[in-house]
Amino acid sequence: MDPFSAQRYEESAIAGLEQAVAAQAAGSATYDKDAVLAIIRLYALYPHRLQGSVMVHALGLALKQLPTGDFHHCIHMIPDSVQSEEPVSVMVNMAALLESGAFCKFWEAAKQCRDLLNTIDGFDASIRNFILGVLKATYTRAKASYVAALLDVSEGELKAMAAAEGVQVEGDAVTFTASDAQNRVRQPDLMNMPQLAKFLTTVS
Amino acid sequence: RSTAPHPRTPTPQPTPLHSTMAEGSETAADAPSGEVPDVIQSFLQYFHKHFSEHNYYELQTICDSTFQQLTERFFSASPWPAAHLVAPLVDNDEVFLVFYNDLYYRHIYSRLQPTMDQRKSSWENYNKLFSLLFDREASEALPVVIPVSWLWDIVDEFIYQFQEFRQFSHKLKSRSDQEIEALKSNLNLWNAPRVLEWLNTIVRKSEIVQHLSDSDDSPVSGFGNSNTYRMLGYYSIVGLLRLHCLSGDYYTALRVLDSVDLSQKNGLFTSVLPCQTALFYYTGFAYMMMRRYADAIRIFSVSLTAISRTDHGNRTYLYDQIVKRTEQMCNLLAVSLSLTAQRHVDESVQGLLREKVGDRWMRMQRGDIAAFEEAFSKGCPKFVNFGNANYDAEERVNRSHEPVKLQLRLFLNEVSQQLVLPTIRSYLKLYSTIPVSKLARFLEVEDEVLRSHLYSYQYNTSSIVWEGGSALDGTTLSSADVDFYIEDDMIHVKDVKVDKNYVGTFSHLISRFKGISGALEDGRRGRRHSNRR
Repeated sequence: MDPFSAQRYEESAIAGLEQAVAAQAAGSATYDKDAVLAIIRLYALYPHRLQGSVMVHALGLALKQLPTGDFHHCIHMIPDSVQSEEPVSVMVNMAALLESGAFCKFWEAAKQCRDLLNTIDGFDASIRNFILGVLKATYTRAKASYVAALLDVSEGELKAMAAAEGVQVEGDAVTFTASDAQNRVRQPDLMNMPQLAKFLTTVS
Repeated sequence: RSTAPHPRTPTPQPTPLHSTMAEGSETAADAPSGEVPDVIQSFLQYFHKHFSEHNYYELQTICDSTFQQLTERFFSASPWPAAHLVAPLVDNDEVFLVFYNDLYYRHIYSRLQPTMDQRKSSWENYNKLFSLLFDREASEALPVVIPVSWLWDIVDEFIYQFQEFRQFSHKLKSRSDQEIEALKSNLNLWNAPRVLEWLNTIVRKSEIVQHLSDSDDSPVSGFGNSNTYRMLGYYSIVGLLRLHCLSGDYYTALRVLDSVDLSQKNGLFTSVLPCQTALFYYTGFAYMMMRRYADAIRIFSVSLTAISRTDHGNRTYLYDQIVKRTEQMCNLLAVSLSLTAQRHVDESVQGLLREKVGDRWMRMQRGDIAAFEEAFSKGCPKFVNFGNANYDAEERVNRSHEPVKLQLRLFLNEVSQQLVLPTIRSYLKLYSTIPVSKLARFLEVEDEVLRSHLYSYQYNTSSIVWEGGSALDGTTLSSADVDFYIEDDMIHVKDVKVDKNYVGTFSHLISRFKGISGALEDGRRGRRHSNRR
């Protein structure tokens, strides 16, 4: 979306964006980061139009994108007074638990707001994907019961997930594909073009 | 496309009239109040003449030095003559008066305390100025020629006055009923959507984005043909970067830089030093708040090096501003370095950091949260409320500091999450394998808590790093200097990466030695020549 488009900051755009976010939450539209950021931005410009339920949906959609930092991009635009009150505070708390790796606590907190989370299509599945990604990067082998608890699934469901995610479950052991945990891409210590150019002119 | 010259050549010698005006002995005290001193009258007519004749270099001298010198002499504690007093001297030239008012109000904001009426008039003047330029057919673009430093100042001041009003309007505690009424009846004054919309309009209509992307087949309207319009568009991009940072929208802040290439040696941002420093400062800050610490480090290092190499030319009154920005960037660079395992900065930048923020930097590296709070508070921009205050609230409170508090709190949350990690890292560096339970015992935490920290470590050390393209692009790389994986209940630590940048160190030393040997060689040749004589 063009960051310089006209009417970007008009109050009249709010209604359309609220509908767009509702459609994304219901699962009838694909994720659109621009719409999510836009509604949060407009709520900051026109605080009297703020609707907690829409805000929560927007944040939930952003949180689904973990490990991408979309939630983080949103949260800096929301005033403290809004963040500290329900329902937004619930979402803020969930994000904090996920980012600090406290996955079991996250699922416990999720039980308290099941109704809210159920209004966001595919939320649980996306979070499970994220957690699985972190586990793949951390473990080569772990106990199946433990992994299932972290993902809040039964061991049977874990077996079903495993096949699709490149993870093997045998008995009580889950084996993750070695490549993720052991061959992470690191920032290379290579010479770049400007450094090389400087080097060549110096020694020639 | 024709372009006016970019003023990189030194400004020409001042004309005799200019030096008389600036160095005479008459002061404001000599002129009767309400009347315009003779010297100022001559100056205004001189100014108007060059304005109408589109004389770029004379206008530049006026903006960069004459105006400041006359302000010092005549108006150090009072405003310049109001527009209605100036109008008869300049044939009631509406366009000139709008631009003159820009200088008039800028002076009031910098030296005096603006009244509510002045704030309102200044807002109306900006609206008029932008309207004059852009609310017209592209083929009938206003044929003005304004020096780039003035264009930058217009955008910079526009945003500054917006920030000032936002803060003013949220400080309700000791306001009288009358003042609250005045605020309530002017809800559209300096309002955020309008400010953002203006800058957007300027960028769109000036066609600067097409110009920067250099595609030959893009249409060029009257606006896009004029260097004044294009540069105003360019500075508005930087203005939007700043505004989005002030509202916490760091993603969009970097988005607007899509067409701006910061790695360009002779980019348009280099014509005006304050623009260059603002561009790099806000870009670096946005990267830092998006946890892209490697990119923030890169940007701040480049900028600090560039500042130390540039001279300020005639505009010595900018010196304070540059010093302040340097200090801010040093604080933020120290923060970024402390939050990532990377240590790759140039020696000269390291020296500057040690000089400006050495003690605070050491405390941050030891994990002192208070040091992070100090560094952020000193380095961050002045965040403001973008929405209107609630003037009808029963209790009148000051909410002007709340935006800064929010960003600080979010930042410190980040830091606390990260501070757990260096201790874990230091233990991991000592072992090639260690059971989870043993490490948990060392850290005096439960097994599960340690595992949470380890998951958090994986998540936090993986970030996007720029490798070319627009500001938001990049690949996900790990910045961890200690890596591990867990097999059942055993942590296996991978080979520790040595934290030294050999490439950088060796190429730097080679060029230094080359320089030394070259100097010795020249010295030897010099002595040989003198011996021959």
